[in-house]
Amino acid sequence: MASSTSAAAVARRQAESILAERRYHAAPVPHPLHGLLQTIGQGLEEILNVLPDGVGRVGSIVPGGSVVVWGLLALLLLALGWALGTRGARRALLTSAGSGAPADVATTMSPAELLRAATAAEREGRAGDAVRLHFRRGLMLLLESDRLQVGPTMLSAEVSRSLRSDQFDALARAFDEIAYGGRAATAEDVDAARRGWVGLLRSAGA
Amino acid sequence: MRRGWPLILAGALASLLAVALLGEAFGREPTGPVSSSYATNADGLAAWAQLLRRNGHTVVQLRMSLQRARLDPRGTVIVLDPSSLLHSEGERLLAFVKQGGRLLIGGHEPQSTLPALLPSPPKWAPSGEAQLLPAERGGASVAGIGEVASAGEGEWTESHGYTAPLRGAHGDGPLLEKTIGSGTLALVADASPLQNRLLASEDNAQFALDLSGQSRQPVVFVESVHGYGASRGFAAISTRWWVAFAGLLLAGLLWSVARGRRLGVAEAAGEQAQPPRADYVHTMSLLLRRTGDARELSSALERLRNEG
Repeated sequence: MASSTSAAAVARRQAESILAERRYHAAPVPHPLHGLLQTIGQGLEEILNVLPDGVGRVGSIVPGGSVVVWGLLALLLLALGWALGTRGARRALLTSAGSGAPADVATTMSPAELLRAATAAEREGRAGDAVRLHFRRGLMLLLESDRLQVGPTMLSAEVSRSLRSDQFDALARAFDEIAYGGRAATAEDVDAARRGWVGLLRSAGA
Repeated sequence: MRRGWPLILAGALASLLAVALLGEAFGREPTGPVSSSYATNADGLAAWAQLLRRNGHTVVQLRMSLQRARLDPRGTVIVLDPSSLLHSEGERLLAFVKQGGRLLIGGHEPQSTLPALLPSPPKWAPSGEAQLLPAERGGASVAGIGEVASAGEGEWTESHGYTAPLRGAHGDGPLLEKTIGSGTLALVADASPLQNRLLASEDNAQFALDLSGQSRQPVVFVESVHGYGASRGFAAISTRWWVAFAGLLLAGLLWSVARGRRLGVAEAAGEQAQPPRADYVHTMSLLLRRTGDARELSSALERLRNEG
């Protein structure tokens, strides 16, 4: 067996002094979650490598190789983005159309609910609200009976032309005076609205 | 008091996370690719490169591709644990050996890289012995060595046509040498005796010096095979990364355009709403009152109609 020489001992001491330098040792900074973070990093690396590895494997059997597979994947991604974007935009439009317009606040209440609200308003002395609620309920019932083909933003005059009813004209005039004209509603107005709408709806078959 | 516990717990957890992240971000850890002369971790060769400098060698860390590099045939080229080796690179290295150079090549699983250099490299096994002794006629590669410590991570299982200067109790050891042309090819089955973790053990440091050739001769550590490029800083960022950055920038711009306010033509103002009817009627009544007698107004209107 050969024995170490003094040159080998010198070289060893040199190596020891080199390896004692700071750059070969970790700084005394606490690493409380080093293992956990390293494990997470390795896990992520494995996950991220799945796609390139898969593309490489598929590319080995597809004419054109990995470039073609990456191109197809890019096209697929674009198509998916386009489909999702279109769907999202359509949904956003439907949502805004269904929640933004003030006219729809009334449509979210059923005629029965409007009637209950009108009765409550009358009982509490809010005659103006009662007239408004009766008017909305009446229009809603007319719409439901197909007696009227109007949209939520139609003017009273347009409804009047469509119905050709003196009874409606009287109801609309009183409503306009109270809702737009600033006239204070009275108990008589509420009574007239209630009776007027009952008569109009009966005659219209609603 | 009970309500304070979740807050204290969340605060402690947040502090722990902050310390962990700061430690990871600013804590200095020896790091680098396996068998790279830049690597200061256990598997690196930085200490070997430093030892060579101390002993008068000119150490070059080659970052450019082997095909473009000018290799001095008086020196030693070290290619250990390469991530890959192209056939053209193998030919370049073989030409260097034939011209008189000394090539040290190998590492873990060399069967994936050595075929670029040798048509039929010797067989390799992923195990070895921890205690290695110089052969009787080991030559200059083991001069002055009594014992070499190894992690036993690889050995050659056949040595036909080669000399084995370093041997264990069994097998052909981790080092095979062969003369090709005017130079020497040294195949290393296990780089652990030369790595930082074992360089100061036994006579490994002297072994590392012996393998590198005579003093003052240049020693080239090929670093391009560990992923290092010739460029540094921003220039070192590869084209594919720049393409990715450009894509991200484009995506960000598209997002901004999609989310931002449209700067198109001005929208037409909506129609002026009619004033409340009560105000309208009130205004009309005031106007009528100012006109005085209604008959005067009638005559004025009649005159206007006749004129118009």
